[in-house]
Amino acid sequence: MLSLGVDSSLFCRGNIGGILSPRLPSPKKLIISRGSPYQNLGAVLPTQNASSAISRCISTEGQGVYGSPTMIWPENGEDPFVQAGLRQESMPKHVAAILDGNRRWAEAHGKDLDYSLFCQGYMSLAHLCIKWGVSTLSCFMFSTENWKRSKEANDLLFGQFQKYLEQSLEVFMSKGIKVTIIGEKTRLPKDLQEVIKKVEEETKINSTLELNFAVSYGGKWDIVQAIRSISRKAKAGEIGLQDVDGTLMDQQLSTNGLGVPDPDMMIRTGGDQRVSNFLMWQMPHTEFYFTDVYGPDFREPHFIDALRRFQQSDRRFGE
Amino acid sequence: MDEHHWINSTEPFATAAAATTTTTTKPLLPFSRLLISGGAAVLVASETCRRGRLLLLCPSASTASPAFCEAFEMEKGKDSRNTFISTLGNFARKCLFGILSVGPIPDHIAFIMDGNRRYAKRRDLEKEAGHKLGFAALMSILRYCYELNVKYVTIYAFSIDNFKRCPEEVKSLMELIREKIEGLIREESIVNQYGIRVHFIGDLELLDEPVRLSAERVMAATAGNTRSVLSVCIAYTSTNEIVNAVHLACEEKWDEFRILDSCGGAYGLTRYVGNGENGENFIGLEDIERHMYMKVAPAPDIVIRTSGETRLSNFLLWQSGHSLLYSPSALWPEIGLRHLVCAILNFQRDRSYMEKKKKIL
Repeated sequence: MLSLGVDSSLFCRGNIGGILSPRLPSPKKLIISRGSPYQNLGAVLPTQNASSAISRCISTEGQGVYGSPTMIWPENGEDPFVQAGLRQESMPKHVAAILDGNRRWAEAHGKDLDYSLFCQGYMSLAHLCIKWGVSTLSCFMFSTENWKRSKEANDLLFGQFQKYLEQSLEVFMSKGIKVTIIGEKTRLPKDLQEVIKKVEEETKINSTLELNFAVSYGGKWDIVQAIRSISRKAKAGEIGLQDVDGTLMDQQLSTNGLGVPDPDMMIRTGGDQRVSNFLMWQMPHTEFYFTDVYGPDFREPHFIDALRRFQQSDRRFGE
Repeated sequence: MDEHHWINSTEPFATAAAATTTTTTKPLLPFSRLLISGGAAVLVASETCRRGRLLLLCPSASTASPAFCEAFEMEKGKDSRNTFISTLGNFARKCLFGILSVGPIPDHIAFIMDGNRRYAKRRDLEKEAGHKLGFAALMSILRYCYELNVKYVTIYAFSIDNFKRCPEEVKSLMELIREKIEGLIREESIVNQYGIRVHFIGDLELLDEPVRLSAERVMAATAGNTRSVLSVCIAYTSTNEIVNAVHLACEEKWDEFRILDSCGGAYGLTRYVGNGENGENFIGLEDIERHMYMKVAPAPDIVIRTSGETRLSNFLLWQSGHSLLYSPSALWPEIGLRHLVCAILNFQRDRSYMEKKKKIL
């Protein structure tokens, strides 16, 4: 059985004097099984080396080369859900993710800003969702507020995202991933819009995982566009104003096409503890999981930790 | 309770210098650190006197309560004006707030008061007792907020989803709410002490008539207060608020349309109503926000939810898009000064980080 106990030394280490960071450190003691040689690994390792720390915790084989994903493989044929301390029947159906922290990660490693890691991060997360039985993944690529960034950074992101979509089309088809893009697509560059249309069209028959990218998306924008389409219908006499309720709003929002429109859990990396205008209407009862780990460092053990946190929460929905 | 994924409230409030940047990219403002450590050193004596008595009054279930903050807390639910030590504690608290005010203080804090029933269960009390203790905790927190000059405070008193609870519980909660609302109009209440204007936010038609009438009385009685604002969300959900705003915005726009049409002013209408094909996209963000229940306050700077649960539960979804979310593991009746101070320190650190981020952008 796996343990991830609260270790008070995690608070004392790395903090001189008294004012301890009120933000809890990201889970550094990761999946450690009883009797494992890694059980006594108690050192607090800095965030930047998180992935190598994870690989040392997990596998004796792979070298944990920085940047290569490390996955959990069941030992001795044990059920991976049991090994990870998860219940298969209560996995979240829809996970939303904001893999924040790419720029800070690039600065910390002396690298140039490169959004391909951002896209690859979401791709790895998609693979993890397929492995652990999550049916929908929503990824926040670009928000309506991000238009304030410099044109060069935005063009870089759009260019790399377009390349990523084109190159990953085969993977989407082989893994059964249905790709949808939500957001104000009309503001995007024309060739990106073409690629998006093509990828959506070709992957629409897939059904293993719904991979939903939010590009040029804002929660408020989504609600306002839903309201506009409702008001158009009401003005045209198709519906009465008294028919406007929560269900009708759900049907007009961008997430209407998804099997499960409301996320059960939202993961945000990079340390910021806020929603940042992502999926507002759709997240009334979503469990949030915040971690200090930067996006490119987010790996399977962090994901399992998030899933465990989700399963431990008592979702009462008001009752 | 597995606490380690959210901000933990077990850390001592302050003894000395730096928070490192190992896990955070937002170091505490250096000047604040110095002042806090100096202030903490000065206030040790009053803590020692009060601690024994306070621990009896306010037992913390699982957290190692930071000694310094407990010293500054008033006795929950009691008027603390009459004892020397209470006076000393009040003075110490004012010094602490003075230190905190060196950095930015949030304009608007929102609270989700979760954990009353669990608190009562842990102490083998009735659920009503849990809610009463929760109310006492609320009064303390409100005093702290208004002493700190936080202008807007919003609390999530009762959700529309809570009507699904068993009818006896809903009835007793409504009775407690009505009783406490009536208490607000009394002379010595917190409302008059701090010049608070009270708003009751939500679909008040869903409430029983006695509760609704009390709420309307309090809103009318406090309409002239201008120093600070308390928004009590009762029979509220964010989705209900948005749908209501849609109804009102659509009706308003169509009324305008009809008036202009009847005056023969329709020719310029498509230009007047704005962009979009055939002038149909005439509802905008401002139209929705103008009809929200929560137009009485700006967006919250911090949303605090107790009991360690990390969700919004249909509270201020529209308004909290950029708010800092903070979730101490303490249950609502256990909430104290230290949690508020931690939340504000976090906010100050976050604010300086966001300023830097804006400059980079």
